[in-house]
Amino acid sequence: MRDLVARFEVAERAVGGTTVPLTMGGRRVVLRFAGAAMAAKMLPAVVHLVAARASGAADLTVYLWDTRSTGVAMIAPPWPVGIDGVIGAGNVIAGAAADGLRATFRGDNGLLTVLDVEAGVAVVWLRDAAGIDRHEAAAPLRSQLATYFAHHGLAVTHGAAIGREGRGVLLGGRGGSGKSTTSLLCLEAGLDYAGDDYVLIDAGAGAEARPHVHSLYATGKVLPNSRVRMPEIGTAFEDASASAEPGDKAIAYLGTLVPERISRGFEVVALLLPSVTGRDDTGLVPISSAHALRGLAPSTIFQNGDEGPRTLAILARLASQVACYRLELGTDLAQIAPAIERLIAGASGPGALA
Amino acid sequence: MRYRIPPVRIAHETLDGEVVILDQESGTYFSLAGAGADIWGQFAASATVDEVNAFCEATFEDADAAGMRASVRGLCDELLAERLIEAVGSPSGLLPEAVGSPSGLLPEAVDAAPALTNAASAAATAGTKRAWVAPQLERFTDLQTLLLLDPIHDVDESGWPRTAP
Repeated sequence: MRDLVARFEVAERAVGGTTVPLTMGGRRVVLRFAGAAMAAKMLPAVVHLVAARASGAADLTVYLWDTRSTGVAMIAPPWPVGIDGVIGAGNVIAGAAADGLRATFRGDNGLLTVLDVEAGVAVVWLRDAAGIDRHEAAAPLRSQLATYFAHHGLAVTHGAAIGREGRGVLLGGRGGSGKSTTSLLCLEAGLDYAGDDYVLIDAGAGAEARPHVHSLYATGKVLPNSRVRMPEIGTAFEDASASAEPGDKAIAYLGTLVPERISRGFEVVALLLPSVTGRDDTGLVPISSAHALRGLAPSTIFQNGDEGPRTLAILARLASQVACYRLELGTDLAQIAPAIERLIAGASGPGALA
Repeated sequence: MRYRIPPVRIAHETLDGEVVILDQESGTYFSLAGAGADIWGQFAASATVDEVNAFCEATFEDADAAGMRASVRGLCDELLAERLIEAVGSPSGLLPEAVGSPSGLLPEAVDAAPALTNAASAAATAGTKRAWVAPQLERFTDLQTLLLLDPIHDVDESGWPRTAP
């Protein structure tokens, strides 16, 4: 890891550097960029988490650079990576584990990440920052953060989070279930927004612990036919849609568009699994915590790549602590935000509204 | 023969009498409820099929003991076929070194099985037997595409793989 950081320092000396302190999940995460190319890609999604000032030692320091904009190449790989079979699930480079590191290499864009959880150090490199696609930019460092936080008892979770006055709900489920549309409609209706795709869950410890969701990425993703229903923020998606593939979701960076509406997090009082019914009305149907876990955990864990047992344990604890519902989404979209707002206002614990 | 849950590859948690099981290699996930969740807990504690049968006979009401045993054997075979349990001592089932373990990461020690038998005996003695319903393993494959790998073949002069065109 020392050699990798040394390469970053060469790049930083060559083109200058930028240090950005963030607060993620209550921890101090410092991003150090060599040059501007990587920062331009990685920062927009997390701009709402920038700390007012750097204070104290960082819990996690991430060094980022690309070769194209800095002229500084990565050292030769110390682990075998060039033949089939040595990069497994989650793009993990198996050989790095022997050095106590978690390394990944993405074949599609060439993004290398190396993480030392215990030391709180990560290195991120690729040949050309242009290789960071729109989906990576919308959720930067997700896999690395999932590993880091899982070792500290928090779960990077595939879900959306909407709140009001310090309390809120987590919406889980596979892609296309309605998480993004629901959460953006709630944002339009004035509720606090902590994310529509990936958030950080702290299920707490001890009998009196209250589960908490922390925002990670202030982005919003919607299909084109949803944008017309969001007059306040819908225009943000017009520019974003220009870079979207046909049929793909447009991505807007809400941390700069509506910063006052982006929440850094709140207490979770309910877990919802949305589903589109085709009926007019929106309703909430109580479900068991096991059912909720089955809806929330698989898409989270299969995307995170590893740390499944740790993550599943955190999500199971969450599901056992809060009321769980199937959110049956109706075609009358005006009902959705009020239904969630009533739930937040009335929920006080597991089964409170059942 | 004793069984156990493969560490790391399989994640599992039990809530409300239902166990949720994730195979992180295949992207398949499973659910077992009722007696199935109890039986899963027995295998997770390195029980043998005979010990699971004894546990079930002590825990559940059922006039058809032979049918119950057939169900246990059938579930065991299904869990083996899905690679959700493995024989202790099998090539892939060597016990790992002790590490800090979150809930469900590692099986209980092999000698935990007798304690489970005692627990079942206590349930029988207390007259709290539950109704037996043959377990059903529910299998979900809708998220397997999330695990599609991106095979890497060639490296460039730096030693790092070429990216996809």
